[in-house]
Amino acid sequence: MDPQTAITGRELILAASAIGAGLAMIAGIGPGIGQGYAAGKAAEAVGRQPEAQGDVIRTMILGQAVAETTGIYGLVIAIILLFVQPLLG
Amino acid sequence: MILIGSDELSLVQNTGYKIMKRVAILTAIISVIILIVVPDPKPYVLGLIFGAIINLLNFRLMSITLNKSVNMSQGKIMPYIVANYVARYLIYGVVLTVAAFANYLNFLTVILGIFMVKLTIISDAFYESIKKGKNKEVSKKN
Repeated sequence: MDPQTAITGRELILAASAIGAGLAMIAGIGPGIGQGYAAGKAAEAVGRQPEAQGDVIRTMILGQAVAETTGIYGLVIAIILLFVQPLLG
Repeated sequence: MILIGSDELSLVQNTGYKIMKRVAILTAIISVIILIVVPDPKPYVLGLIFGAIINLLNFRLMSITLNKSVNMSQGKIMPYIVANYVARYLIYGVVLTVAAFANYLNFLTVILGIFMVKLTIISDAFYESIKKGKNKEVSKKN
C-alpha cells in the first residue's frame, strides 16, 4: 500500500469520532418535535379551558425544561467526541 | 386571541422565580462543597456557575417562548417552537465548545451546571411526593 495514502490509526479514530458525533446529534431532533407537539396541545387545552391557562403553561414549561435535557445529552456526547477526543488517549 | 391574565401570569412567573432561586441555592451549596473538597477549586466553581447561569437564561428564554406560543394559531406553533429550540441548542453548543477549549473552566462542572434546572425540578417533585406520603401516613394515624 502507498504510505502516502495509507490511513493511520489516529486518523481512523478521528474519522470514527466525527461519524459518532454526527450520529449523536440525531438525538437533538426528537425533543424539538416533542416540544412543538406539546406546545400545540397546550394551546388546544387553553382554547378549551382558558381559566386554566396558568396551570397549563406552568406544567408545560416544567415538562419542556426536563424534555430539553435529553437533547443536550446527545450534544454533550458529540462535543466530547469532537473536541475532547477521549478515544485518542 | 386569548390574553394571559395577571393571576395566570403571576403563577407562571412565580414558578420561574422559585426555580431560579432554588437553582442559585443548589449551585451555591455545590460550590461550597467543591471549595472544601477539591485542592484547586477555581475552574470547577467557575464552570459550575457558568453552566448554571447559561441554563437559567435558556430556561427564561424557553418560558418567554412558550408564553408567546400559547396565543398563536395552530399552524404557526410548531415552526416557532422548533426554531427557538434550535436557537437554544446552538447556545448550548457554543457554551460546551468554549468549556471544552478553555483552561479556566472545568468541562464536567459546566455539564453539571447545564443540567441544574432539571435536577431542581426533579428533586422538587421527589421532595413533594415524599412530603405527600408523610402527610398521608400522619392522616391515617389520626
